[in-house]
Amino acid sequence: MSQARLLSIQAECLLFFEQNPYTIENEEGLSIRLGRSLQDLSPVLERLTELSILQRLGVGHEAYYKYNQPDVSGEVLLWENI
Amino acid sequence: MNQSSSSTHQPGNSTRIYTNLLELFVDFEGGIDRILQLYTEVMPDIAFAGFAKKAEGEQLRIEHVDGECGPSLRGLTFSIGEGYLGQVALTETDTHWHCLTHDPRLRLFTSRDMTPKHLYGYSVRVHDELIGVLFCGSTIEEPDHHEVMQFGRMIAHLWGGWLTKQYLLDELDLQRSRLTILIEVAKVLETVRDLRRVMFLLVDMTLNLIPDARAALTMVSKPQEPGMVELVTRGFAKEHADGYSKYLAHKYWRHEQPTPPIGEGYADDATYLDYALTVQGEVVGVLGVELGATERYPSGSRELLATLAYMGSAAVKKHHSSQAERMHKQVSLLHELLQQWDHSQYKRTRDSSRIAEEYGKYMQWDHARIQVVTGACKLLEYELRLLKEADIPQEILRLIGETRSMPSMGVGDSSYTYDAKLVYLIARYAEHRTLQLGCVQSSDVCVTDFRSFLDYYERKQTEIRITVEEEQAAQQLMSVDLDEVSRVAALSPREREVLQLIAAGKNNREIAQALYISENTVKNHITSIFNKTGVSDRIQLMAKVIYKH
Repeated sequence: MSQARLLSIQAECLLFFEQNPYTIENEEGLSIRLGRSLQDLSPVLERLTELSILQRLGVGHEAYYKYNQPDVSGEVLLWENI
Repeated sequence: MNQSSSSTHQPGNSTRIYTNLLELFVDFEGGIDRILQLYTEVMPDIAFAGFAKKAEGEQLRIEHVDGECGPSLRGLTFSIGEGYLGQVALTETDTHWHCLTHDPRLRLFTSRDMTPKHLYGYSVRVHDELIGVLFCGSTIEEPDHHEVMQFGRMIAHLWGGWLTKQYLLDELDLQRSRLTILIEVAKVLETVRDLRRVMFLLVDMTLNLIPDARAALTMVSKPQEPGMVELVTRGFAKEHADGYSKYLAHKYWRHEQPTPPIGEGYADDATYLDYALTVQGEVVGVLGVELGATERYPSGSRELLATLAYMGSAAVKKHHSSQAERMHKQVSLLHELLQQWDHSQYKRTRDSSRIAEEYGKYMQWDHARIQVVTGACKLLEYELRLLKEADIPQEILRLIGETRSMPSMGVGDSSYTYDAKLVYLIARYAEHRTLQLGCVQSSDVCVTDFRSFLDYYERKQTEIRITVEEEQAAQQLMSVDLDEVSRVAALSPREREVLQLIAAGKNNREIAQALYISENTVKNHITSIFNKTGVSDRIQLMAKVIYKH
């Protein structure tokens, strides 16, 4: 798969989880939801998991994926501590 | 052994061969293996031909070979500068060596029991960067050097050109994808109202779009709370994120040149790239990314981060305005409620907020600060507990709390903020219409500013009052004069209305619109008025109204 295609599907997948942050879905479910083949999705999910954007629950093709919220440090006072 | 660089040019001796070669590059069917095969087929003097591809570091690896003795070379590696082929990679010059004897620089070949008498090497470049070495060798005594050299050079250049084309097509495809993604991100950011979701999207898209990104961070400052930021990170260890965010705060809000964020808590093999989020030239946040070790930033990374930062800036701006609007509505609603049960308090706080607004404009404050101070003036009489329940912004609550805790002579106390002193002064002034004695004598900056404002404000109020009174008097006078003219000329009620509008400076169309009649009817009324008053135009008519003759 070309880098352009990988990037495009990765962004699609990311936007899907961003807009549905409570979704838990496996590869097959995501393939149906996004209209992408399993072959296309596998490397994308691998990359998003590597970046900690998605959390993988389980192993292999049976694994489920959910959005992993970034670390939030609410209100931080920066300037007084400098 | 002799070495010579083939700088002389001789025309090719076989058009057919070159035509076949060019055809191979049209669709590149069979790839480099087919091209090497053609090379050995059409050049009978050649015993083998191959391609060594540049791998990680300074190594090259022979991946494709053709010719009877070729396969044994496949998989061998050598460094740039090592042996004959390494020299081609180092100098990037097409070269051939002939009359070779036992030479340590032939070790690559002799290790596979090959002893070429002549060796030819060509650099293959993509986008001006070496990607490998094309080579061939002859075992006969006197091959046609020119023919072999010309043909090899043509293959190397055609192949380099073909790969460059592929590279550019891939790059174009990648840029199109990035553009499409950015459009999608812009669409989503347009609809997202929650600031945190905006920040999540910025961090995640930075990781997704920037090549080699390992961790990303975004922070957005809180309006009216200097030094306070919302921080969202992904991929950073906590102490690393703390250090990096402080570094960015130094850089963008303090405009200092901080030490690069390398050292304790940072990976040694990392580089950083960051961009400010700005609203009307003011830094409101930062978007930063950690990349792997690199001497130069990956292609397009700066532009992509800048684009994401600009999109983030627009989203933050929208968020701040809608928050300010929401806050303003909430404050106004509570203030209006005050009117229901204590009209005098309502009136006093309304006057206070008007003075605060005038003061803010006089001092050229930004809109957000004016809203906080006017909000505090409006809600000063409310219980703080109730205001907290009503979800009034912290900045207003803090200001009200501080103002309330101020003793009667607290305006001279430097432990209170400027804004709290101001709200206190305005509230006292709205109640007594004068400054208290202690305030008149104080040298506090806020009191001094307020005194000079009051000079301006009271003068302006007097001017406005005089202007209003003059206008009312003039209208009254004019009304009396119109009545007099109408009575003497026996104008009908409709003609009197038309006369009033003429006196107000309206033209025929405006009079027609005001009275819901046609312009022709207006003209008829005006002609009738002229006849009855004995004048021939509007100027004479007005003169008659004013001078009564």
